[in-house]
Amino acid sequence: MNRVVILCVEDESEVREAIVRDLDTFAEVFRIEEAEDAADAKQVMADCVKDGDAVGLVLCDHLLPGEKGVDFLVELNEQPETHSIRKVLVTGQAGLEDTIKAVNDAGLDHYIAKPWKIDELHEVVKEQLTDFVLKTSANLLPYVPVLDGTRLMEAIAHGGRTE
Amino acid sequence: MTESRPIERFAVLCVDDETADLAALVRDLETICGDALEVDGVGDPRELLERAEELANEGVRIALVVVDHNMPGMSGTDLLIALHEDSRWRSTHKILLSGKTTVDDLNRALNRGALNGNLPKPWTYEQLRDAVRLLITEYFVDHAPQSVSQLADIVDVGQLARAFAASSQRQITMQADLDRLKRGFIQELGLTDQQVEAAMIGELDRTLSNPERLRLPAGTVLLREGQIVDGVWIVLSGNVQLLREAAGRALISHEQTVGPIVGLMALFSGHSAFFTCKAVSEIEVMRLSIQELDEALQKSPNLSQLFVTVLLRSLVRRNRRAVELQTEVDKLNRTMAIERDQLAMAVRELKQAQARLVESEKMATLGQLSAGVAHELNNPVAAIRRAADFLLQDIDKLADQHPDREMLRSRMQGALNAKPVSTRKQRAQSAALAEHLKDDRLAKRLVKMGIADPGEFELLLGSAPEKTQAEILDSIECYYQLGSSLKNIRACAERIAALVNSLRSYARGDREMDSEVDLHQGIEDTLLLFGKSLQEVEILREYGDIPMIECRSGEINQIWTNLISNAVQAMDGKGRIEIYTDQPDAEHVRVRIIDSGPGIAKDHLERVFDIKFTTKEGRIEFGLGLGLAICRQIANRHGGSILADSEPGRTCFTLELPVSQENQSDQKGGAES
Repeated sequence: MNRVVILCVEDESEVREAIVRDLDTFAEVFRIEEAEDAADAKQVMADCVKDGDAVGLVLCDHLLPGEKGVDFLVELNEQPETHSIRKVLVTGQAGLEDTIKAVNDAGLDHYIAKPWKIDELHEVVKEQLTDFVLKTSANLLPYVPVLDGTRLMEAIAHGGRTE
Repeated sequence: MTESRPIERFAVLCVDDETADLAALVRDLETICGDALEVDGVGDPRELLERAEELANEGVRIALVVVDHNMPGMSGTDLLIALHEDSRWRSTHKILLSGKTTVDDLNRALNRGALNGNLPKPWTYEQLRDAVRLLITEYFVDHAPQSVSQLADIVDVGQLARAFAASSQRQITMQADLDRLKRGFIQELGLTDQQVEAAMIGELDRTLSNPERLRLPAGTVLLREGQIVDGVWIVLSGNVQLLREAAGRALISHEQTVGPIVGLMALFSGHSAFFTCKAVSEIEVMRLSIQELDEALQKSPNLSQLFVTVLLRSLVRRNRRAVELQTEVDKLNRTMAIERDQLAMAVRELKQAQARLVESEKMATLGQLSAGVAHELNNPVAAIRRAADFLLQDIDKLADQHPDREMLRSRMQGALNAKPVSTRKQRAQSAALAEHLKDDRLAKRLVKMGIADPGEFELLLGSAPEKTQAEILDSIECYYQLGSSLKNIRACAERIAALVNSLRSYARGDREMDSEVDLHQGIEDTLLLFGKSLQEVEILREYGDIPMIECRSGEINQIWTNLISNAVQAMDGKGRIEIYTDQPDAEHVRVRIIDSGPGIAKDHLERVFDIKFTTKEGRIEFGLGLGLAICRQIANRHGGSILADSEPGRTCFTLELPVSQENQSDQKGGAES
């Protein structure tokens, strides 16, 4: 069974728990994974690949122990196998320089400032994952209830994947 | 006597650019001088000067030079003048040999005293001999009488005797003149200024038959600076001052030091008046024109002596005054330079003080701001804390309505007390559980509810039918999540409260002393608060057995916060912090915090405690830039001390605090910023 994975990278357990719980609405369709630092995140991604699942979205904090969030995202962006993953920075502590680096070098798709609002989080995740599945999934139907139904239905009507 | 003294050497030098003439001249001179004098001839005036120099260096005295007039480069006349102007050869007698010498040339040399004889060219041996003998004899008699015996072979004794007689007559006359001069001045040395002046005025009165006395009011100008002087003023009574204009202001040069004769200097030197002379009181003066002065001086030989004495004394006084003035000016200049330096320093200090004021103003503003923010945050934090407790109570009541209330309550309590589990461990647990249940998602969900053990799962749900199982699972999940959320609310509220607390301790330390403070606890709390900043820092603790101390614990915690934060910053987040506690003596405790950062340069060590306020990346770094200054303030307020010591890779901050505040004079507040 090939599932799309949402990966949340956040070192503070309270915050991580909250994000993951906010992502509950996507849990029916997506596999939700969590990691507490970049190294852990890479482990999770390797596991996913082993299971035949594809990481579609990374929600990443910036101030992490060890490798910083932005650097991790830059790394993802530079490798062909992870390049297409949608990347969202969820942070309250990234300075201007880090943010610029994220946009320019990490192909950052969105920036969510902490404290986030659940509606905003849902909206961003929905849009990013819709983009992702439109590019990568042959069968879009399962995603219609949880993602951007209108765009997905249009795509289905036009014969599947859009580029 | 003569034998024991080394025989002095004398020489005769001659110069002629024509080789044949030179040879003849040298030959003639050698014949004339015999062994008494060395004879040397050169072909060029420069060479002669060089030779003269050499002889002078050898201690040979040149008694006579014989110089050809027409020579290339330098005429004989100029050569003689050059020799004459050098004191070593002034007394050397000089003969010019001239074929075509102009009268002008001769006059030039004669007028300067640079010529003693002139011979025609070509000369005869007899002419030369007579001239040379005469001049050498004179030279020896006047300048080397002790060596005159050397001339016995070449000079006629009668000539010598005559020369001696002439010389002594000259000397006797000179001696008499000198004696007279000396007597005159020495006589008057014993007299006071007033006596000399009175004598001078007496002589003036006598010779000029009482010249008119003028009474002039104060302010009268006798001489004006720059004016041509045609007579002198003799001041008989009252005071005058000598002034000079400088930059539009009159500078008084002399007042007590003027002396009674005014205008004489200008008169003698032929210049216009150097000073303006002005009466400062009513004066009585005598005005003498040049002619009158001349007449008086001629009539009375005594007068000139008195006059000179008065003038000399005035000049000595004026000169002394000028030196004093110069010294005074110099002293004033130095004083001014010192004052200027002091002023510059004062300005610098003022600027620094102003900068410090601005900084402390910033600090005060920051302090007020953070205190304000902290107070504002206290209410919501308190409300959040209380709300979490109320929720817990209410949920507890709600659980009563549930048949499985005990189980659900214990699940919720479990979540409340759960220790954080790393994501790695969670994944491992769900993988293990999935193995057993053959259901990934269920395994994950169970691990999230704190049910990781298959046995526990079996115990809870194993016997229930599948539908009930799902309901039970939902309830458990719900209660577990309630507990977990409440735990998170509490933990986060605690964090906010701690931040608020640390913010608040930037405000003035007006809190009461805490009597029994465990420093170790404070250090541990602080380390805890640092949380993830210390993730890559190895902490090494060596806590000694130290007593509880009396202090304001919030402030002391601020010290830990600042020291640790500085250490972490210095190490760029990675390295080792060592914390040692002990007691240097019974009344004090000591804490040393050592980091493995690059270290602080020796000359910066004390300055790190200076107040400074930094903003980093546009954000205000509370307590980092000014952290050490605050540490020192707090330590001082407690009667303790904080010192820094550093070498590369090891920077140590040592804090010493008294165990008891009883003997500390500064109990509250103290000097702040």
